[in-house]
Amino acid sequence: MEGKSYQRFPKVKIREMKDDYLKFELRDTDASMANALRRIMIAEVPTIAIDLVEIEVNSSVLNDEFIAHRLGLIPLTSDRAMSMRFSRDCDACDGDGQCEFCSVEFTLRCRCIEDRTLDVTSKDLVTPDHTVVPVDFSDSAGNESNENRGVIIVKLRRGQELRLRAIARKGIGKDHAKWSPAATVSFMYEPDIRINEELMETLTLEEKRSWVESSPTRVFELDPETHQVCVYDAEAYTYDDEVIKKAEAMGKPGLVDITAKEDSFIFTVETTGAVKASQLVIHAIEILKQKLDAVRLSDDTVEADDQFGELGAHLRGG
Amino acid sequence: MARTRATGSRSSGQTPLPHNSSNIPDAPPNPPVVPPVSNITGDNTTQQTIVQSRPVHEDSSSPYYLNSCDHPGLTLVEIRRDRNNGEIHIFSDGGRILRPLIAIENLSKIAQSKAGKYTFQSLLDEGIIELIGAEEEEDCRTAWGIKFLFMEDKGKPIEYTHCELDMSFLLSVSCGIIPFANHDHARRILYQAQKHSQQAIGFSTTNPNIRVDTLSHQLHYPQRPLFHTKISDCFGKSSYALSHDGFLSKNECFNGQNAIVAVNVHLGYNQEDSLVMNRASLERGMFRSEHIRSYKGDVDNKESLNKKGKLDEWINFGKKPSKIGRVDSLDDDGLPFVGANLQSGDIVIGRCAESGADHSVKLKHTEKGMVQKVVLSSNDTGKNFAVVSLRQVRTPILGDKFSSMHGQKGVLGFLESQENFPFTIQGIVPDVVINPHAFPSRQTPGQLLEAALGKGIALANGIPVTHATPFSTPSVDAITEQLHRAGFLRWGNERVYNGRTGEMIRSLIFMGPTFYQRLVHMSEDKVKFRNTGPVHPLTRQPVADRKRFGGVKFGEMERDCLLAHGASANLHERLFTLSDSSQIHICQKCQNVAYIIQQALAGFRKIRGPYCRICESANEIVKVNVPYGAKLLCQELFSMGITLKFETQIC
Repeated sequence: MEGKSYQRFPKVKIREMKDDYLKFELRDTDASMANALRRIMIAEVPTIAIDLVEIEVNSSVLNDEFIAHRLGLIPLTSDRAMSMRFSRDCDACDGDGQCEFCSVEFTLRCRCIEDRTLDVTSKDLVTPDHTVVPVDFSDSAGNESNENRGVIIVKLRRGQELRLRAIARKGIGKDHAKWSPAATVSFMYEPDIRINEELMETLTLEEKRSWVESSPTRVFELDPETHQVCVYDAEAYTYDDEVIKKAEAMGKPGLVDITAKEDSFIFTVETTGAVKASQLVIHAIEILKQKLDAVRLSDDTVEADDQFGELGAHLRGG
Repeated sequence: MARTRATGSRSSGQTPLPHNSSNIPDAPPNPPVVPPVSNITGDNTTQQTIVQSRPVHEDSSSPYYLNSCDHPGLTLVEIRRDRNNGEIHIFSDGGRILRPLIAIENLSKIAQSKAGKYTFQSLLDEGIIELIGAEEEEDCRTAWGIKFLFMEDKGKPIEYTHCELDMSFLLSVSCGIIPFANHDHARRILYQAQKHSQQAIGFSTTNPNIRVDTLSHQLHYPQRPLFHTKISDCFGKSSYALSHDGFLSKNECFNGQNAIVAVNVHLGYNQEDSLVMNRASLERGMFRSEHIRSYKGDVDNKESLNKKGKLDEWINFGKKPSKIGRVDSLDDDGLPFVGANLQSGDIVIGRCAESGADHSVKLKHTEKGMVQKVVLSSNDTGKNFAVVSLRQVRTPILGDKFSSMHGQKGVLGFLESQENFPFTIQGIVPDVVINPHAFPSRQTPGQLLEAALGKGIALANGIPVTHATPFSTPSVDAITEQLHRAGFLRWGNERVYNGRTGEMIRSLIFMGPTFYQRLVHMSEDKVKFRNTGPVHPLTRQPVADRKRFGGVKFGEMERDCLLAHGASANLHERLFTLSDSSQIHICQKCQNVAYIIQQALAGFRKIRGPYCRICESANEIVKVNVPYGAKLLCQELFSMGITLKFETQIC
């Protein structure tokens, strides 16, 4: 064991990239690495979210806690979050919004004076800091859609008023879901599909068609001219085993052989808009590195023995 | 012996229905629907002659039209002929339960009238639909559905008088909204319809801001289930904005939310009917609810007190430093300001008398909250009172109770982080994980069908199959085919990856959106703890009441358990030392109880101590430890003329 290195050099290939969506391949690594990345993206990449709300006037139909909770869930642009401080670690202040290192202050003042209902949205949140603002969901084409108005916080009728001061802080998804930058983070093993052509040819056209259609997703295709079954989109396969069961039911076990490649993964990342999807992955890798550094540091130092007791020796491979 | 109260009287407190409204009011879903207006058609042929001669129905402004064909309004009177007794029964009471049925006799009118638009009202006006009451129903021969009208019995068609609008209309409201109710065990349906639907937290009123209920619960984000049933479609109001073309709008007031439910074990945290929930979902607002409790305090009327002349005993609102609790949140008038955060033990309503007596209303140690509103008012006798409502927003915590619509209740056993749940290829994680053992013995496949159908509805390509009406549910084929077309496994299973390791899980997991209800039983209202505290005055044992810091009973079964373990010292401590330990004196000579008395000795000296009245001596008296309950029993028997003797030994 000594001297032999198991180090691998994982590769990333980006398939599709939008502001809030990223699809990429991760190769030459194993499930533990892929899953660590996924878990960090969900729970440990920091963002900024409203954490403290001081309500001055609230004559709306929703109560203070309700509004505060809704405010907390509004995604704020958090590109600064990685360089910000947690307000609990901040020496410069007590986290009340006075300190630029750990908090951002928002104010909201709305009063309905017309006869129709007034939608109070995330666009009504005012802040002097232009780097941390509610995420703008309007599409780049500039279409006037409903989403363009921002996230609705509450609706006011004539005479109702909402005035408040909100303080946004840095945090991670582990503490509260509002700090999670991920909308969806998921990966799949890349499938390896091999059709037994010899056996396939023993099927009639009708049998082939019913076999192809037995898959809920479009994985296989029947060529209309040559009547050959070929793989249409291997990655559409969800490992549902439907085609394998169908082949067995038709009395042709081994018609197709599907295995999951143990070392390559296809990731789908969608964000809430707080950070760009590409940034989310980069941040996640950075945090993973920091965590591994922490393990390595404790491995090197003598304190590790005190810290982990007998486990310390284990960690060093003793 | 006519049982009528109908004639002449018009003041039965009923108003005729406006033309555009439906027969079913937009009542909250829980109570069975009682139409506000009872009405009836009297055109049963046998009754027609009797009916015709009545003068009442000639007055078209009378609410008692007897034939809805002749009069555009509605009839209220139910007439039934009892052939056996030669009687006629006439009913016109308000609040009778009536239900709509198709009258076969008038069914032919459908062909005559213009094709196209019918409203419930127009069908009612034409007599195609009748409202039948309990008495009249006995003489009806009602078909279960349209198809039964065409069935034959021994070659002869069956002569029906009426036909059910839908088979599920035999069920109540709370039962008729259960999807796939016909697939479940009847016991489970009863649990849902009678218990859980009553306890589910929803948004029960439209005027919560002006109500002052002693206790009310409201769900922050109530949702409509994905499926529909015929009865749930009837909840809407045709005049409401969301309705279209005179059709009823879809009901909006269900009391629950659609949760993604996975049927799986989750590290053993969902054993024995407990659930695992996704903490991230809860933090995003799922099953969040608010609880409003109102406190009332009234004050004396000044005039009525003046007569008695005790002015300094006059109790009025006011803030004064109180010995029994904090008054910091009170304004000078003795009432808290809106938004004040009151903790347990604080004063909610400050009241005092001129004499200085404190009559404040204090919060129990189990109660706290933010002030939602303060109402000052007076009752009919002129007595002034104030009501303070306290609000609490609660997110689900361990021990809170939840239930699906199929009598599958469970308590929250663990809050798991989002990243630890198994996830599908699309990145979906469950909100709720229930244990597969909940199904075999309970026989509620309806819940599985609901989840499979719900998944199909949520993800269908094209127009989905959405109805789940009892007795006319979609076939399993329709559900599976819909799922297959949407790109999912036919039986609702999914391939998932382990959230902790990232490995693919060998088995497929059944997952789908299921309508879940949050029930009012919450662990915050039930936590009980005590070290020392109040004891019952009679038995001197600890009290059981939670509000008074009571304890949890250590009962017979628990006692048996400790006996079986031979843990006698523990048992002695639990049942004696920490309960009603006491001491009595026994005279060893006569074995009777010796009480402590004061004896006069020679020379004005008095001595207080145990003394046996029977032996007339204070010698040979010993002190023994006895539960107070035993001592009490001894005295009670003594009062009945039975004496207990105690054999004692000094050890």
